[in-house]
Amino acid sequence: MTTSVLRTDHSRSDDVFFTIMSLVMLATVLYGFAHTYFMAGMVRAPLPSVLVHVHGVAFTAWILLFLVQTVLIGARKVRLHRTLGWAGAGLAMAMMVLGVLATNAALRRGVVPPGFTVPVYFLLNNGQVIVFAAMVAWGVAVRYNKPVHKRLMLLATLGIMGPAIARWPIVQTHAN
Amino acid sequence: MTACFFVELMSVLLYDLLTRRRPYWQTVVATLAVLALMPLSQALSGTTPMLRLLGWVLKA
Repeated sequence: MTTSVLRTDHSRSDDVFFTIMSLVMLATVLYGFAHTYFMAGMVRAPLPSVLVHVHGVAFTAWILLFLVQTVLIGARKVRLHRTLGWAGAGLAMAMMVLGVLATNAALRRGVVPPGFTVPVYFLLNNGQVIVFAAMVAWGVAVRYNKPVHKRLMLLATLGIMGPAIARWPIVQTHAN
Repeated sequence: MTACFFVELMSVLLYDLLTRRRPYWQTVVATLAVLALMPLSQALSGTTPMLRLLGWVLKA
């Protein structure tokens, strides 16, 4: 009996956990990019190029969308969640392209964080966004398997937290 | 950095274990895929095809 209750597709503990995790990821990103992006005025932030601005907007939009989607499911607004989900799938594919372009542009500017070689940074950053997009695509493919869908979406997003954590003032391996 | 990232990444598996659920195999595969990125990047970083690709990207 207890097991069957715990294994329901839509438990209250799931709502709490996934909402907390979406807030943790939002906090991770806000803290990591506060100095160079959010507190620097976002649009007015002195970023190296328009591409980096667009990349910042897209990745921020994803984190906010993740929070909105989690809240929508908690509020049982499934239809809106599904509609927004398709926009999210398109955004994720755009993020993959933008992520690859931004990494390669950073390398051409000679930006490599301390502790990384150029080839490792190239493979790791590009790999992160490709794995992210692949997991989102997998999550969309299994969207009717709710427990798996939400876990894949969360793991996809957690997988791209590295650049934000690397910019935390207490860590600081990235300059911008 | 690695520790914070690891804790966040492991939270999904931990949540399932704490709520007495058997972790979904998809969760395990996805977690391993993210964890494998760093060692895989380091292992592939010196290979000729990768260096050629990097050279092409930097010239483009």
